[in-house]
Amino acid sequence: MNNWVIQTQDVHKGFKGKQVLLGVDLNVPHGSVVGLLGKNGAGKTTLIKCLLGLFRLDDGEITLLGEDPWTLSAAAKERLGYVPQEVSLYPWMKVQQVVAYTGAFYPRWNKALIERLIKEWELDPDAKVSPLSVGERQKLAILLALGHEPELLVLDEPAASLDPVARREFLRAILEITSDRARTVLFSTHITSDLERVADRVAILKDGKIIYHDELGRLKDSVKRLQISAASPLPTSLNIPGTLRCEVDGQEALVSVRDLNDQVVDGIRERWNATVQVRDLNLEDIFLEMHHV
Amino acid sequence: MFERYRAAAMTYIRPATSIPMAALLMAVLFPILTSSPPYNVKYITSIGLMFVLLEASFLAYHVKEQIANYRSTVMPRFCTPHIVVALTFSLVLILLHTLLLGVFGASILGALAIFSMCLATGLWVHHFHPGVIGVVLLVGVASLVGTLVLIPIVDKSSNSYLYVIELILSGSPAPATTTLILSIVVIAGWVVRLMHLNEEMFEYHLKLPFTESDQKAQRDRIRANEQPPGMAARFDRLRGYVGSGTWKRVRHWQLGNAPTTWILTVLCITLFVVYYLVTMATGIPKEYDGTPIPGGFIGFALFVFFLPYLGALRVVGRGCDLGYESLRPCSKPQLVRELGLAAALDMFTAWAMLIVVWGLTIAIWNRVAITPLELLVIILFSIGGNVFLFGVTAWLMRFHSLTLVVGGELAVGGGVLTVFALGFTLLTFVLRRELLSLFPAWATLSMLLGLAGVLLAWYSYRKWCETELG
Repeated sequence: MNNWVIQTQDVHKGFKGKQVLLGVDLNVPHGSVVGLLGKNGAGKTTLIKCLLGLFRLDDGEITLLGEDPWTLSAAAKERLGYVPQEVSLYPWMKVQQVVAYTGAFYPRWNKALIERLIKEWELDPDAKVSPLSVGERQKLAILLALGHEPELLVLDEPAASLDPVARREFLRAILEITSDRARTVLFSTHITSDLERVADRVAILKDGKIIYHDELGRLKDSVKRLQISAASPLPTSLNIPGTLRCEVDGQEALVSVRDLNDQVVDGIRERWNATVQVRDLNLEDIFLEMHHV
Repeated sequence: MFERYRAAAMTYIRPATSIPMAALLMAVLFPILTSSPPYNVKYITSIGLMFVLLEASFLAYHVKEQIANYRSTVMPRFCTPHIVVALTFSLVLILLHTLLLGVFGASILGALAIFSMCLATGLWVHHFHPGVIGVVLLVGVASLVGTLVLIPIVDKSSNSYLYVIELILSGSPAPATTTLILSIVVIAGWVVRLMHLNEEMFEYHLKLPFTESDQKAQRDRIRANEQPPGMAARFDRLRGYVGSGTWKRVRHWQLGNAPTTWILTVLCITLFVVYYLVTMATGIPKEYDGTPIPGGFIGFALFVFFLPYLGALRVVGRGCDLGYESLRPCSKPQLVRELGLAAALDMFTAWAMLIVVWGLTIAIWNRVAITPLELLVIILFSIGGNVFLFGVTAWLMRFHSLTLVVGGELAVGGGVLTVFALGFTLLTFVLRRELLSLFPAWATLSMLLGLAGVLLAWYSYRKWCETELG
């Protein structure tokens, strides 16, 4: 059996002459929690909409839950949950009416789960949707996406509008629903701390391509920052393999490198008669280094 | 200093206002440009009134949108240039129309007075609470003026002026001067209102759905009390999975179609009342080719086609969330089919409601005896016309823009106006007792309209299935 819930191959998508996705390859394994990381305008939402069949591809191929997303069947959609970046959610309805309205589309709807989440997330079932704050609407949208206990949950910057408490609760809910490893979650974000808390894999989208996709721990292990102090002034370019960013100031240098190993460190020590300190980076630092900021 | 005024003027270069205005201009001016002398002064007046009214409404919308914004508070000397530019445009507009009428021999004072009156009405359209009153006012006045426009087209010798307009236009000093002064006071009131516009005033948040953000804002302002009791009861009856039957699902989709039934009811009742106030008070139009025309007949032509069309336009508001909704468990063709049927059901409800209201009107108020066969033709024609309008709207809605829908309607020859004019002609045949002899022709025309609508709807369905809903 194919273990991939999402498979993409050389996906291209552009709008009015501007190419947003330039050959995206991303395979998401069953049971994983994948954080899709990228700067504003990197194409995260476009990629997600292509994955869900909301946009038609210019080129390439996507398989979602074993089907072509452009012609996704009702059966596949029953296994899919989606929270868009912005959703208005029928402003004239009450919270409980939106829940009932949405739930009526699904043959399997976990009413108990929704009632519990409404309580935990402090949503008033009798409140109208229209006056809800952005964060409350976001909570409601997330809740609606969880009601049918989807096998694949796709969230487009789900926590962007949530306050820290709600965000923590949301992340806890994600951990809870994925604890049995039966569900897959793909969520885009630029809040790296959220990603570190729940994701086991990370995909980084840059310039229309996935520049990194692997386990989060492996990424952290592979990207390091070297603090180099040499006996004599260093050249402006150190030519260290896997360099992401390099700052040289006289005899001192700060170099961020990928796929570091002991041989590289020893080579630096010998070549410039230098002391080298290897430092770990958190995900935010790694993300910044990868974007040369 | 002039930079600020230039900047304010530059804001008018935007598709949201320029496309509908250009389309409107073409639709309105086409008959003038293609007609030959001698020109019908009353017809030119009617067109001028309609144009000033709608143009003023667009101007008012635009300037309010500029001022109902944080920029007007935080930026120095922001409001004045916008208001001055809007007033300048307005002045140029009514002066042009006044001069045009003057050339054809009308009183300059009278013309200035009635155009100012229309301008004042148009400028205030976006300052009513609830907003639907403003829309109703605009639609009501535009329908009235529109009637004045259409009747001279049908009958060159028609004497369809409102008495009050005739009086002002004749240049009688007292009515004309009074109207002009009152209009200036109303316009001044509008300026004062704009100068003091702030977030705590209801109209600050009123938007028209010209852009995507406006559509979102419009949806957001639909408040709790706009949910009709019947709809709440339908929610209460929801018990889990709605099932896979098409009819059940269509009824379910309808729940998410915005409270169209409620809005249609409000519009219907209000327009009906406005219409009666107008037709009963003024007795327009008086006759067609020597045959008296009861007001109820004009009501049919105006509203039986217009309101269902408005209902379909409400579905455009759902457009922004279609991507989200398309991930409900159903295939894309099924989604398009069911949403289309839900919209058609809304239209049908409004149509049926109007037919009943109209029938009662004719029977009780106007006491016109219609034979069953005549009634059949009328119903057939209104069905054909509505199906045609549904097809046109379904096709245009694919472009996710109300601007395009409205502009497109006007550009494709005025789907609404065409059917409206045909409807009016049909009724004159009823009045002249000539309909029965023309039954095959009208029945064929109705069927052709319906068929065109069905084909257009089918084509739209195919296209919708290929459309990106994200």
